[in-house]
Amino acid sequence: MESDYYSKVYIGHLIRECVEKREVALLGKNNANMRALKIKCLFDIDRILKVSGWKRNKQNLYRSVATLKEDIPFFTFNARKRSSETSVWFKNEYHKLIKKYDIFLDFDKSKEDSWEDLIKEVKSLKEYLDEYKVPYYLLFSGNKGFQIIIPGEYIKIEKIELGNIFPHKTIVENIKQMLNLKFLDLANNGVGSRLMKIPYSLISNGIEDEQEMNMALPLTDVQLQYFRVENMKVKNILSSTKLVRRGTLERFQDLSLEERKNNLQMFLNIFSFK
Amino acid sequence: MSHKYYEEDTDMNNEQRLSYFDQWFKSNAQILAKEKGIPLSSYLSQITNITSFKATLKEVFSLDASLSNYVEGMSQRSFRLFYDRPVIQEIVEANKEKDEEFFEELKEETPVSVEQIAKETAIFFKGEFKEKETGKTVRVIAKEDKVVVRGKEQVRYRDSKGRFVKKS
Repeated sequence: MESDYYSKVYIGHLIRECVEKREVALLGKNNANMRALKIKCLFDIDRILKVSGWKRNKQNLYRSVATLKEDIPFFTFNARKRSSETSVWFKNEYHKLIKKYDIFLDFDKSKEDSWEDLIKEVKSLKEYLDEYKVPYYLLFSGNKGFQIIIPGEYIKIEKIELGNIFPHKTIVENIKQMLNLKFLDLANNGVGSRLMKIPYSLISNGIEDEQEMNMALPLTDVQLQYFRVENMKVKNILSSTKLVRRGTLERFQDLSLEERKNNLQMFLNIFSFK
Repeated sequence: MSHKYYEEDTDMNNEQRLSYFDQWFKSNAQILAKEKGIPLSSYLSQITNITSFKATLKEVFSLDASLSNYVEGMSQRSFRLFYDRPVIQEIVEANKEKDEEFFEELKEETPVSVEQIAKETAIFFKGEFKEKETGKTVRVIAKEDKVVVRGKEQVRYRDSKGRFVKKS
């Protein structure tokens, strides 16, 4: 096994659920990057870790913000030939396959900024989402930020223009501008092939020991309230939090699909100035 | 910390994305030239090497929050790759040759976005609206507006539905 952590069956299931019909990528040091991967079963996780040399390179695991209409084709694992196959697919096919696209709000702080300021800002948006009962989940990104994700199933793609997804791109820009969110990072906002961390994946940050690494953990309200980055280490999470079938912790799951869609629309309407 | 999105787009031959940035460069450069009251050709004539291109790109992309963030995080190689794009190389070459006709051509092709400028002038705040029927206060976005009351101009805040709201 390439990794003790990823070989845990319940972790495998959590990861598999989060990447259904999405592109998976491993990006990290030593140029050992691989894109256009897929995970359909637990065996796939072990295989992609092996072929990418995860034990040596400790890449971070990413998934696409987009959900695709069909499974990613099978590309060769031959490192020399792979990118020539995948680049053609990205160029000619990828955008045609996009079915849904999450509203992805990526909050990042610099070394100089405090966690308190960042959390305050995340909470200021969260208050709006909670008030309008918008379905979303919140993730510690594993290093220096948080991500708020509103799943793509609640909002239709109106158009894809020059590789950008609308209205998703404009929505995030409006939220940043109108709520004056300093830490909300707009780099690559709305780009069709954009990637984000896979929930429950490891973020190595140059650390070799899996237990000492951070985890990209979906957070409860209480975990955000009392957030400490030390608590995001694998060893601390495994000893304090039950992860089996934990999922993304999407809020307002008790509401019907229609209600959730309406709530999101009501929330988006407050940003729609003519 | 720098990002490698532009490098990845180049490495993956993502021409659609690369030309997207080309387009933004051209249209925002036109807006900036207009704001400065100079012809586009004069504005672009400052691009003679990678260093002057970097400075110009940063200025040009500063018109859009998303692009501004993007350019701030661009790696050195990304700047070099952008600089090597035909659209920039044509400018550099034209500056060498002082070919004014080229700029005239570019000027005609470039669309102007008025929305970007209009967008920047609006000022927004967090706001609250009290519903009369239920008495419930809901969070909204408040846009600064000016109204004339008894001949005097006063600041008011409206939400996206045009209702008067309180700034919170």
